[in-house]
Amino acid sequence: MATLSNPPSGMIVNANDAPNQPPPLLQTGMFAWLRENLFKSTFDTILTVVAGGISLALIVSIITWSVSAANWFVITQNLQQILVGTFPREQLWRVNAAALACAFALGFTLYAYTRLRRVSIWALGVLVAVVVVAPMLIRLTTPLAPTYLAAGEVTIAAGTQTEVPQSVVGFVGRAGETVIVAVGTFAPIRIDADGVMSAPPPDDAEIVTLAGFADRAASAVVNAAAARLNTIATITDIDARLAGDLLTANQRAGLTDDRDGLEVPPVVTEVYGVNRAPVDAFVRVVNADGTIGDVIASATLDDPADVLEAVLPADSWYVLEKATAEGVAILRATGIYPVLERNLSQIDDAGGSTRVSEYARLTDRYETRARRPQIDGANVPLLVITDAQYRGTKPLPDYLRLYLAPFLDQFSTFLLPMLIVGIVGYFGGMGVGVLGRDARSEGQRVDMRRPARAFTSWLWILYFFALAFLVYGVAGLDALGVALLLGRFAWVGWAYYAGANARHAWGRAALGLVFALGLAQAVIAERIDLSQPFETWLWKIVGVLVWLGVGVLAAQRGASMRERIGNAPSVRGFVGASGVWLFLLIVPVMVLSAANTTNDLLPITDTNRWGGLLLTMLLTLVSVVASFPLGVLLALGRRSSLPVVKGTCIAFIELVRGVPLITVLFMAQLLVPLVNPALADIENVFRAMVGLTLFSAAYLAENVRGGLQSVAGGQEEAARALGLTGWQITLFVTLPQALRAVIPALVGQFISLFKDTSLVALVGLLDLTGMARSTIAQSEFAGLQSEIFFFTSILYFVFSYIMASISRRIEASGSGAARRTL
Amino acid sequence: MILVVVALSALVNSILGALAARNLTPNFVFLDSRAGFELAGAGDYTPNDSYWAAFGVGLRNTLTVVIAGLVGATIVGILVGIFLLSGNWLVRTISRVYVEILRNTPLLVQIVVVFFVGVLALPIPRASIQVPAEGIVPIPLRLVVYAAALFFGARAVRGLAAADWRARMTLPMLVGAILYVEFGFARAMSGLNIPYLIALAVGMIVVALAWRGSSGGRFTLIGILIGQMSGVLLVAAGVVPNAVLRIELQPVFYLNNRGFFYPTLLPTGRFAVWALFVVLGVVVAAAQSIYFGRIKELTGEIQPRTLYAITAILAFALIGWIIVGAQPIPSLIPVVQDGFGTLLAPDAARENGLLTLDDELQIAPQPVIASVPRPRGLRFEGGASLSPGYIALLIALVIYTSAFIAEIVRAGILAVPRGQLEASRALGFTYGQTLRMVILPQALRVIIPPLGNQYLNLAKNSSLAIAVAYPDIYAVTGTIINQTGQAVPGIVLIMLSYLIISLIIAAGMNAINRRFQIVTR
Repeated sequence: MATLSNPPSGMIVNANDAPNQPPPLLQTGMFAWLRENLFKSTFDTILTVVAGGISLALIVSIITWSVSAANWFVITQNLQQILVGTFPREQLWRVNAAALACAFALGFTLYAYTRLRRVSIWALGVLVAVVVVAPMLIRLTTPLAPTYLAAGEVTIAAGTQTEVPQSVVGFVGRAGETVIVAVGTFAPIRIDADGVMSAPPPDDAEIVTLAGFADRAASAVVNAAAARLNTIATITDIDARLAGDLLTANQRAGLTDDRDGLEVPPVVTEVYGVNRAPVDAFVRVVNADGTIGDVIASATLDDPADVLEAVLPADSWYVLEKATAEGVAILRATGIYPVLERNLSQIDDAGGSTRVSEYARLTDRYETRARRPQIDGANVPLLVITDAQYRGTKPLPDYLRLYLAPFLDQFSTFLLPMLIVGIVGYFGGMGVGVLGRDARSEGQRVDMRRPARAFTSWLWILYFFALAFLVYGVAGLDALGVALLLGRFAWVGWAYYAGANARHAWGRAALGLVFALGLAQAVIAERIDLSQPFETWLWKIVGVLVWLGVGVLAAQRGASMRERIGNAPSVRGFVGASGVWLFLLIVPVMVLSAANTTNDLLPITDTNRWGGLLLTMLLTLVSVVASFPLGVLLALGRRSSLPVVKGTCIAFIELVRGVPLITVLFMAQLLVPLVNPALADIENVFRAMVGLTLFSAAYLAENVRGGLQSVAGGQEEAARALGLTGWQITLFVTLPQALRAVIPALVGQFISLFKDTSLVALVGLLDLTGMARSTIAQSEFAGLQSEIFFFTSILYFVFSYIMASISRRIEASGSGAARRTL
Repeated sequence: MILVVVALSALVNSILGALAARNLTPNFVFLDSRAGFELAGAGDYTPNDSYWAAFGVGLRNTLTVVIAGLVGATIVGILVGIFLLSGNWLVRTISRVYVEILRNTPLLVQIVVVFFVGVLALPIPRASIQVPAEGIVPIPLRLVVYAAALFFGARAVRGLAAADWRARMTLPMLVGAILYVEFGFARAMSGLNIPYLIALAVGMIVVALAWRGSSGGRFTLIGILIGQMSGVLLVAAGVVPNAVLRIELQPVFYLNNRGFFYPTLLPTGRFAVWALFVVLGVVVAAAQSIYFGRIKELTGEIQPRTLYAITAILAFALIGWIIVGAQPIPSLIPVVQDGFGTLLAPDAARENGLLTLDDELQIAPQPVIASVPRPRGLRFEGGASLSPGYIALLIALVIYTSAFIAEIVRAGILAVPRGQLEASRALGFTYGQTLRMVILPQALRVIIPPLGNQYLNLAKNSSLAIAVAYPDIYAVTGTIINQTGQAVPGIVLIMLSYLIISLIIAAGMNAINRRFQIVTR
């Protein structure tokens, strides 16, 4: 038979006759990849096994810790502080508005500069779906952990703790919730007249497995049982070691001493008479003034089937009274959960501040400021987070219900609006592209992104102003002020399109009208009153002139852009921009007047209350924006031919680069008030901003200097030959090339600045790191450093990584040296 | 520029004026006055010393951290940089994750995490981590037998061709026998060791799969099986020795939440004489090196000069040790007993606990004695310690800077033309030799300037010691400023110190850089 290896003579072998064999299993596909990358040689295999083992152990231990041992209440209860610090609650809408505006601008920029892949959109959609749906699923499928409460009059001693069960405990509840109380651990044991027990008392192992919240007395019983089991285990361990022969004399002496000091205490259930007698339990309402009201449910709990069930009538405080005749009874309650007490200072209408206690229930976001229950003027003990922590190992359902669901809830509360607004921004970019697309290229492929790109920088400038006004505030801003403020920015766009149409006669008339309206608008906005002393209106006149100058620049830009965009888009743009201007002038006045708001819409906030992620972002943004021009100026000054300027710049750069950032911040804190006594009142935040700006400017100057050195000398000579003066050469020839060459280094410097803002925690500001440190300083959350620093690190990492990825994409897209080789 | 001058002078004048308004003229005289504050772990500094002394402590602490940090970060950074380029995907990915996590989180957060989650979570002194762990370690003599068998077996097959069946089967047979004797037969009880059998079966299947198709695997498997059967025979014949050597281990290093305790060497009264011997040995070694260098130049033969030099120094040290130790211990030494000065024999004095550390140092026959930390209650006697703040700061600085250095090393190695690697492989170099002799010297040209930058960053980042309460320059001077109110001289002092440290590091790196540039052209 003819085969490939044995062809008949004279026949040309046809490759199509080759028999089909499956590819060798171990040479292709995943196995090939494994052999090539992980098991190439013996040494490689050993390395893989060792490294894999270590990393697997590490990952498993982190996940186990995070799910069962970590106490994430420190995050779920403090998320607002971590994100915005102690920003006044009633002003939080301003921060939310700033965040939404940022999302809009980001969406716009995303449209203008990237092409979203379908995979990313799907991934984002899946993520959002999970974040929104998961909490609901979790709430439906897993029950809340129970709370264990102790009743009785016995003193319980566990180690150094001595606790007495409380007969009355206060808790908060909402209308319609059900509170169920039953005997928790095991059936009560009765001792009859002859001293015979109805059932043998269980060992401590049953008590130790209680998983849930527990008040102090109940957790003391659990601790006592756990301590007893621990002692037994330790004694067994020491005996085993002493019986072996692997101990030095020193160790043997030490272990014998330890062993002699240990003795097994009696069974805890016997010592404290756990569950010996029936428990009388009552649930009572608490009136609005704090006095205790009527009973709404009562029961005598004699065996596990007996249940006290109470449906709460209203959102308010309630108390549970429990008493047992003998020993200690451990009750299992659902619907009673610990609260976190927070003392807030509230600013009332008169301007003074009062202290208000707010109680937040741990398991959901229910908060109340109602008066806590009192008996004869003394506070009733509450189930508070410091006493009733859920410590120890938690099963997975409890982790999901208590930590993950609330966190995802809070996360989606601010994620979803931002996402929606971001999508709106994306389509806004598309809209701008549609409106402004080049009419001449109809029929060809239209690049809608170019108009959007041109608009992006204006959008971010606008955003910067909006951020400043929203977060810091403006004195005496009313509805008309808002309208005129927004109108100013819209007016600049209007002037741009007016300039684009200036070649027509009607265009020139329109331009005159635009500028007249602009002048009127500015004068009204600034409230120029010439009868006042001239200091007040001099700067305002300067401000008006600056705005008019910006308008002139915009009109010039529009006129020069007219060459590139057709007639139709210019007219369309003019009409559109005038519509936007009118809209922004009229609608805010109407809306805000209808809403009947106060005169001062954006009062100036107390910068000492800025904190958390908000402060970090503000410091980064302001320092980046302020240090960039300063750094460029320093770099140019260093190359100057004037010796004083050059010397000053060199001295400043080398001095600031040679000292650590913390000392620069320290100097800013100390020296700013000394420079000018009038500045002694300047807040810490601004001093820190000054310090960060100066520091960053010095490093930026060096990066820009590298870029300036990379520009070929012939460029300057050619520019001079063309007749440009010194400043024109720098501005139009040298700087653009220099900056483009060092964009990666500049972005890297900005990312470092973001991380370096954490140092302001050491000079007393509460940024993200400072907020983390101060949260653990609170007694309710003491000892939870791992959790909060883990979370803080993840926040920093996420932002830094995103910025670094953007930087890599900018690099890869051909900025820097790669571009110049065109 | 006139504006600049005017602005600067106005600035300075206003600062001086504001200070004068508070009766604080800037000067440096106040630094001589009494400090009045404590500094942890500062040796012989007391609050009665001057501010200059306190500042000296701070300076010393900063330099300790910086130098140790530079050395540690360089070593770890180079290692991680090489791992980033490894052929093993797992190692590469783990290094990449390490570098990305460390570069994208702030250093302050890392320092705080290492301090609170790492160092403060260490056990209490009573339950310290001990190295080596205290206890008795039984070393079975069988291990010596195994080592000897493997060594001689390997030697016996060294001369044979690789394809010879004896070469291929000997080692697997020995390994199989050892595995069985050590693990396969449970000593404490008779019968089969089921987990061992399962592990053996799985291992053989893995070996079979990995070497499928080649004959080497077949011989390995057969060898291991024959080894197992030989092991059974040996055990049945009762030939296996059960003797055990018991070594008592005393811990030398202790790690707990009060710090890291390590032994130190203390010079005794006879140290000076021994040091003379060592110096003599160094001189002889230097002379030897020059002499043999001349021989090498004249004859062209390679001389093991380093070996000779080390031998000379060691020989002189040894001779000096013996000679110095041969001098007799004084038979009577003055001690204070019950308030009176008497003369006692040294052994008697030691038994009665009357010898102080200085006395021990005087009479010891060796030039140096080791002072090992011993736990006494909550403290440790003897040895020296590193404070928890220092440990946390050092570890955080080292791993943070190593991430950046790793990237720099990776970029430097990638900058070497690929042809160099290929050429050295063609010449038969192993990867390690290539790295050491061809790639790293060329990569160093690209690595050194940014490396100098990272060193400067480390020196400046050491100022974050204030977050862990470690008294460095910034922390101490900050306290001085707070106590005296003299902000300007304090700030000038801080800036000068860091500038000088930066200058020294920069000058050093420039010198190294120049040297590497010269070598290549």
